[in-house]
Amino acid sequence: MNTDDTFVFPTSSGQRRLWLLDQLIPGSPAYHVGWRITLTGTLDRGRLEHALTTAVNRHEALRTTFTATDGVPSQVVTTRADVRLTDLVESEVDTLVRHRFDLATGPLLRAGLAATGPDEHVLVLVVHHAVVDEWSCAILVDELARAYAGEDLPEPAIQYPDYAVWQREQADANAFADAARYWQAELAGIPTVLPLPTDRPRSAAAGHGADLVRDLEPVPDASFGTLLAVYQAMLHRLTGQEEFLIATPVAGRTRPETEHLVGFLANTLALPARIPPGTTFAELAKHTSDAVHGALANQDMPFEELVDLLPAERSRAHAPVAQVMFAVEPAPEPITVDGLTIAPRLLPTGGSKFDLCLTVEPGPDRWLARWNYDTDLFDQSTVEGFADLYAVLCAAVTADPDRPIAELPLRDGTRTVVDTPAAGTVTFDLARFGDAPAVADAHRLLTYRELDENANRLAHLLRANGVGPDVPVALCLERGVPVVTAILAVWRAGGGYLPLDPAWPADRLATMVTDAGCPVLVTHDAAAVALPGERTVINLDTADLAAQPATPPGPTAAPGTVSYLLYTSGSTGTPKGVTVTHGGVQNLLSAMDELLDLRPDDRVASITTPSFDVSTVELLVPLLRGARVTVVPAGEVSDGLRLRQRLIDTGATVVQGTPSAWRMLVTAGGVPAAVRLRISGGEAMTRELADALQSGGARLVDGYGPTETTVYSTAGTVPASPAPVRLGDPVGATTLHVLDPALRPVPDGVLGELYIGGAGVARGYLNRPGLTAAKFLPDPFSTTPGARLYATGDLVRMRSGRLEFLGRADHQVKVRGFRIELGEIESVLREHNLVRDAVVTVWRGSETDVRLVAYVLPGPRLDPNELRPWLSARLPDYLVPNLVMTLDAVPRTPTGKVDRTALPDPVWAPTRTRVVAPRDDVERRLALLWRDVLHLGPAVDLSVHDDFFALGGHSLTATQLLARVRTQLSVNLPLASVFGTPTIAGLGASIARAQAGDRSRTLLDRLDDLSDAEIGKLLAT
Amino acid sequence: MAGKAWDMSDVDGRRYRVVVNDEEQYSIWAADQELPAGWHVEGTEGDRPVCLDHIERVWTDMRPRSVREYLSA
Repeated sequence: MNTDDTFVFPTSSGQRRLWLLDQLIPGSPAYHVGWRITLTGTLDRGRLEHALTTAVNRHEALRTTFTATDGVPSQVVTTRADVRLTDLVESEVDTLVRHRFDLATGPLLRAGLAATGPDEHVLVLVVHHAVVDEWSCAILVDELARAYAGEDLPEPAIQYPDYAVWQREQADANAFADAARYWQAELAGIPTVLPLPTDRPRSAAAGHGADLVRDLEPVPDASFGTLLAVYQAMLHRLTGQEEFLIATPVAGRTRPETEHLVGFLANTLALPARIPPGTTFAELAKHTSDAVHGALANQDMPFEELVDLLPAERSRAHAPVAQVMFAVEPAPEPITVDGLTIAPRLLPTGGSKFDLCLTVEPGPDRWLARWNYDTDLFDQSTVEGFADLYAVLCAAVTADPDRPIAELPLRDGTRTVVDTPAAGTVTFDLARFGDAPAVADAHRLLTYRELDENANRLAHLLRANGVGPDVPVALCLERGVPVVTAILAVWRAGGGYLPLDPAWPADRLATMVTDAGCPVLVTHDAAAVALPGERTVINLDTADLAAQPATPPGPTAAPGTVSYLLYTSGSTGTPKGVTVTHGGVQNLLSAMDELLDLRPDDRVASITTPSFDVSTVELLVPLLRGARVTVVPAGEVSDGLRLRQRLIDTGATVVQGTPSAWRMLVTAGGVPAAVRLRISGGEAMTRELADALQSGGARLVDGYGPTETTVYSTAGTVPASPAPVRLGDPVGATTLHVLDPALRPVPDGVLGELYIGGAGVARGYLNRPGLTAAKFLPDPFSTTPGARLYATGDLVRMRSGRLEFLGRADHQVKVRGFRIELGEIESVLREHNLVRDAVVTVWRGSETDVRLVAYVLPGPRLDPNELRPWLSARLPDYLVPNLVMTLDAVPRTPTGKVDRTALPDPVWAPTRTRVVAPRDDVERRLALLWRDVLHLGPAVDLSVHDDFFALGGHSLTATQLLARVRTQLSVNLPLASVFGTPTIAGLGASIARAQAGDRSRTLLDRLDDLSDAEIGKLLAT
Repeated sequence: MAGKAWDMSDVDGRRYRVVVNDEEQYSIWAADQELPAGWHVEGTEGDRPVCLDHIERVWTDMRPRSVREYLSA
């Protein structure tokens, strides 16, 4: 390959990574390095051009391009290159900086000169990062000045290809083994994803960046470790994460001969932050400074190898290793030669390698904080908030370094005082709607008058059996009209109800009914479940209701008495019963009535099970307006096509569902247009789903709230795209507070835990005084003496007066709207006599694909295949893990906690129903290529639907695969196609399309594919 | 009775007091913080598990006092 003019060398590891990134996102300016060099004084343009050519010709790196053979890149160095200095005007600087480089053809350096004033010019140098780094700037500028002055420069000691060869030899000689051991220990168990509070979700088109530069008050302790620790503290307060990684660049010039070498030598280190609760700033700064020293002593190991040390990502929806960077770079000193002052500074390239990068630039006169951020993720106003926060924290830690970081004051500590009006009880004046249809199911339809009378008759019978205020009545009923009648009857009798889903395991129902101590059970033949214990059973199919009066019994419920008991997943393995009051329900129903503003001609299709508290909204709010409720049978609710048809058949105008239910309908052909009002609750709404639900001008109302504060604590109409989806207004007399661990309000934008006060706050957990006291706290914001505040455990932040939901403070998760404590499933698994220990995690394939994975430490003779059926007998379906994997040992962090990041990836392969062998010539040839690049032996069955990455593929093997596709099948596929459809069948289809010359797959499609992989950030410098 | 929902990992370095409101509902409050109106100190002080264990023993009737009075009226 060498010719008279060119020489081919192996690449360095950093070059390989940047080359690969360029294959993925060709021409991204994120990897351009730009310098703006101000030249003050009389300029000799010819001497400058000559000096530039001299400097370029001294460094092979600046004469390098790249070639690839079989998906492996090499560097190609030409013997000589002339630099053309383009004349520019100021407004063309941006274009020069952003214009794409072609790594294959070069040149990878360009220069422009603009006159900016009398005796002032600006020299703009733009170079691809594959051949320089930011330290190269100082070397180049120094040489440029000396060459301009006419000085003869000595030959460089070594050239970049020598370095690349040396680096490869080092790797081959295992020279990084000690460093690898250091990093392995240093980074053990640390999460590689930092959930930054972004304004928008990640998109594939990574790397659009902007810079925000702010003055920074000089900090007395200007050490790198301290400034980094403030950044760590800030990120901790923004995200709530106790452990995370921050990338930092190092020069990588640890040997004397590389000191003056131009090229991409800089390395990236990942520095761990560990901030357990109670950590003071002084402790963090000490720990961080120690970590920095250790890291610098082990800085030669290339970042690419460091990436390999970290456990594989559990999810492809996130970017691994580190998403934020920190650097301290003193502003470069100007140089003066021959009356010309040369003052370089870095130029924003319009790209971002990281989600967020803070560079502190301490100068003799003033300090700057440069915030480079990904504009796809952040608004400028958000980053301004970060800049304020960093500045506030710099001052706060200087003033009080011994205060816990979680309690560093971020704004003045005044507390807003909110009044909480007293609550009443809800009454349903059903009779006034007379013969209008009230509630229907597959078997019957009741008018308002009939519903009123039936509820009254049952209420009298309940009274006769001892039901009154604060008495819980178990309702074990199939979904349908009887549920509505029974709820109204229990309330009219003064009591509260406990919903029992007949589909749940009998053991679980027995636990609940026993804990609640229900003296009466209302059921019917369709829901016959044998429950232990002595109680009165009212069977609606046989009870003599006609003998009871049709008039209402006298009112007896009081606001503080029990309205219903709802059991939610409990971390200790037993569900816990939330005691909700009549006052709370009244607050909810009246506020939702006002918000939804239903009409008498509305038809509400009820699809939610009564054992999920949001059902109260769809079953009862319509009855305040004379609208009709149609209860959809359980069998149709989970089948999108049938549900959609049922909604059309019943002429539904209003439906409430979880986001999962809505997605199912959207996938099944869309929500019928007649459904004018769509209510969503139980899980976080996303912008993409909101867009789908707002089609045709339909109104979308989103509700949020824990069971403990009565169904919905916030609700509101979701604004149209592109407004971000945030939580709605407080529901009725509900108060919301975002607080730090010292229960102090945090500023907008900072993560805190949501605390909810006001009328919806439940009495607590039945028979669980300690747990109730732990979660229901004195409300310091209320003017009502003795009021309580519920600690939701939900992490939120306030933005422009609205709350954003950001996750959980614990291991509670939501799957298809169900609230799940992973600890509950773990506890039940440990009850199996052949299970020694168990860990349950959530695996996310995508926004819509969330699965539970159980890991068990098996005792002798355990057949893991029997665990799922065993669990199904004890837990509702939604709590049964999708996959059970066995472990030899439960991985632990140094502090003894379960290290969830070190659990093996779930192997989904065994769940495939059948192996589909290649079906045509293209698939057969692809299969051979897969076996080749993945090193699969002939014994491995390969199905055309197997996932390339599940079989151990990674970005480099994917590139090799495509190189072979190119040579053997003469088809040029983008790398993104492997990430988009990582199967033989999918790639075969892409090849067929490409061969057919089908251009219907737009660039946008391909970028959409890429978003799953987030590959750009995966390989970030 | 199910296992406790709190354990030694709930020790957060803070001292708490057991507090009670006029409804005779129990809770905990950081010992160094001013107590909100309508709450008074019950007498027990310690780390979180100590206070919660104590409440688990002494809060035997979880109905608010106004509800108990309403029911017996």
